[in-house]
Amino acid sequence: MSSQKKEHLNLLVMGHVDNGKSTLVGHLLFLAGGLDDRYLAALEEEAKKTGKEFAKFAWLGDKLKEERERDMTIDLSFWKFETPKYFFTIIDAPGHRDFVKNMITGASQADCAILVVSAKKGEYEAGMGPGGQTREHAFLAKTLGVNQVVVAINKMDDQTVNYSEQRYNEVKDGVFKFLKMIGYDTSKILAIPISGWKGDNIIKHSPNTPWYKGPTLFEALDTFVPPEKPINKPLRVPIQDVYTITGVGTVPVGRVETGVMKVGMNVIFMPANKAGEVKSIETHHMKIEEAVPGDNIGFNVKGVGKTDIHRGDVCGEVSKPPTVAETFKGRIFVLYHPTAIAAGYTPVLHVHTATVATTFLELEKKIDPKTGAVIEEKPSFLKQGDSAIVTFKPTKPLAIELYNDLPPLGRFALRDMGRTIAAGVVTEIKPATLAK
Amino acid sequence: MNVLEKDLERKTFEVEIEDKEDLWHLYNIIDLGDMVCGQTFREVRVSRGDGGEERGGRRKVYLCIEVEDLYFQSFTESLRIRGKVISGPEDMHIQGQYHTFSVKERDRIKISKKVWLSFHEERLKIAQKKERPRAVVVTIDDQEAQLFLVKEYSMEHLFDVQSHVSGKYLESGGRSAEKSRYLSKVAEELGRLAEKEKAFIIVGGPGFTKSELLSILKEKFKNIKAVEENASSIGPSGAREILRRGALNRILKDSLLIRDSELVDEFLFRLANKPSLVAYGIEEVKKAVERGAVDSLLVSGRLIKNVTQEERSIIEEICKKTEGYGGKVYFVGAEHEKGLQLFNLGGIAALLRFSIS
Repeated sequence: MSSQKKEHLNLLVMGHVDNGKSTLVGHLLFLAGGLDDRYLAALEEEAKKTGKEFAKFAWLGDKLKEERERDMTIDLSFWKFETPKYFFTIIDAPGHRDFVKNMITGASQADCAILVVSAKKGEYEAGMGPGGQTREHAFLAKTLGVNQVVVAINKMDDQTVNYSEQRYNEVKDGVFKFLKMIGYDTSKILAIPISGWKGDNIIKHSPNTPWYKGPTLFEALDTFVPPEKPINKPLRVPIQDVYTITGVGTVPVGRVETGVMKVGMNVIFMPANKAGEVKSIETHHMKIEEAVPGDNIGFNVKGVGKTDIHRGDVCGEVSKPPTVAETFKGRIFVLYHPTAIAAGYTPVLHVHTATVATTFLELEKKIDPKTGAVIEEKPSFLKQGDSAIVTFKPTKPLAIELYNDLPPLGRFALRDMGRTIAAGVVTEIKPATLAK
Repeated sequence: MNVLEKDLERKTFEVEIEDKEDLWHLYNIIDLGDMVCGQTFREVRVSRGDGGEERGGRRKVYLCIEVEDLYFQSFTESLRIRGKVISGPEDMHIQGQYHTFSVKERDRIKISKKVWLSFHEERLKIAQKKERPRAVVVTIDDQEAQLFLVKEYSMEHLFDVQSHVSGKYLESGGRSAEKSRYLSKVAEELGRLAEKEKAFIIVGGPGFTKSELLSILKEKFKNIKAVEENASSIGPSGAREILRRGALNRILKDSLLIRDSELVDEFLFRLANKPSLVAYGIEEVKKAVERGAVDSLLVSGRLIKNVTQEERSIIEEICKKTEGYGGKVYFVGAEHEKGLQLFNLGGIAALLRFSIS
């Protein structure tokens, strides 16, 4: 993206299932992404045939057969899209709780986000309920460093909402209260009343909401501030996926988090411990010579096979390879847990694109969440609401970094039983010695 | 396990080991300080003319030892029991010397226990059962499948299968073929395991992949016993979720693993939410037992093997008193995650009938 005039941002679209994320994204792309009228018409035909006319926008992103059959997004979609100020990569994430793992890898790659909240009666309540994804996604996004959010209050056209200002305010207040609680500065957050289906306030100000004086969604996206690009740090590209492209070879895909990748570089993937030369780099089907932090790239590496590497591995320069942890210390906050947590507990750790079952090896200290002061040394157990320093042991080799060094690879979430248990940052690492 | 002789008064019984699981049960039944007798091989030392000794070969003898240590040796697949010789062939003069039994399948061994508690009885009963129900739990999603073998007292992580199926970012065409290959591979492994372990299959995981796998499984193997179960993640975390749910409970009735998990869960729940209804650590538990407050006593199997003789006696006393007051004693293995948490919290805990201040 260094060759483009506009700055590039990764935008995550998140929210509870059926709140209209994919439809909004599809509609946004249709209005401003330069998508073919004919392509959309063809999709509409196909959707009508299966009796799912409403899905015509969503099917732009939901390409998998399973996704169309079940009317839900399963895996991430990446799209490019331009506003007057920026060039965006939109990451459309699944909202269903079964696919939170995929949403997390999406969040780990985002600079900013749209939190889609349906105003429809019942849907708002479900998403904001204790196990709802409106809450969980917002919490996970904050945990993973997404500090800029726009709230899109969707389905304003629905019968139960009818473009009501009162309902808009009710939803806005509820969501903001929660966002404030998890650490967002709500004075800086915009909430826009939209209809992903009809198009209200997406690009043009809608006559249906005369009481709303704020910006359209499009305008709101331009208020985002591009984050600093850690160009001078060691190269780190967490791998999102691996493809085999005929005529090219193995193409891993991921976002450059830190450092710069150049064609010709010698890179290594950890913990897979496989190295090779970068033959080419592409972003959104355009070849580039150099990729910087924030770029979502597919890059061809000579000497590495498709089954050698997978999602969760991290790519770096051979001279400064990614760190693989044998154990590490983290400072965590226990957001939710039904019982006490003792050493031995093994939930699932999510960090950058990796997912690994990880054991609480030793509970080192309990600390005050507000001040950071030590409350208790070597506590016997932790519970909901506690903040602590814990030594963790991943059950499989894991590439991870110190939060103070390389923040995108040092932030993590812990999940178990379908709930997010805790969030934390890596404070110390004991590196593993790998056999060559 | 075949129980050949049993004398409750003398707390003595003789058994024949039928399979590897029996060794495990034996490990849990024998305590330090018990007496163990059996046929074994002892090296003979012969005196040389010059006053020294040399090896004279091995002799099959019948010995009794007082147990000081016991552990599994995985590469010989035997239970090693070490202790001082109490009685043996007179001519060998080995009283007081150390000997190690290496107990394997088809061996016979006699045990005289110092203390015989209800849970020892329970273990023996389980060891005698002929039926050994097992389940293979597979947690699967589009990326990976992790397979676990669930036995009565443990859950073993067998192996994983990676899918190498790509996402939606690039059009690579082969996605559905890749996915078919992946699901077929997993189905084949499951079929093989079901046959080998005579196990029930439980297919779990988030999303839809599990249903797809189940269809393929039933198509490939007409007579396979397999059911679907929901789990929010894959891996040991997901497998533990499945442990709690209906399907596994029906298959593995009286499963110690499930029972242990539920007990520890209850303990952890009370610890966080109703702390006055639990006690943990020897001191607290002792106090609770003396007041007759203990409903269920949880003792980590690993704890017993790791304490001094004195501490063991104290624990045994606590167990006896608990039963004396009508409470139940449960030995919880540390081989699974819940048991490990119990061990790390001191290895001994009590669920109380009423709160003691």
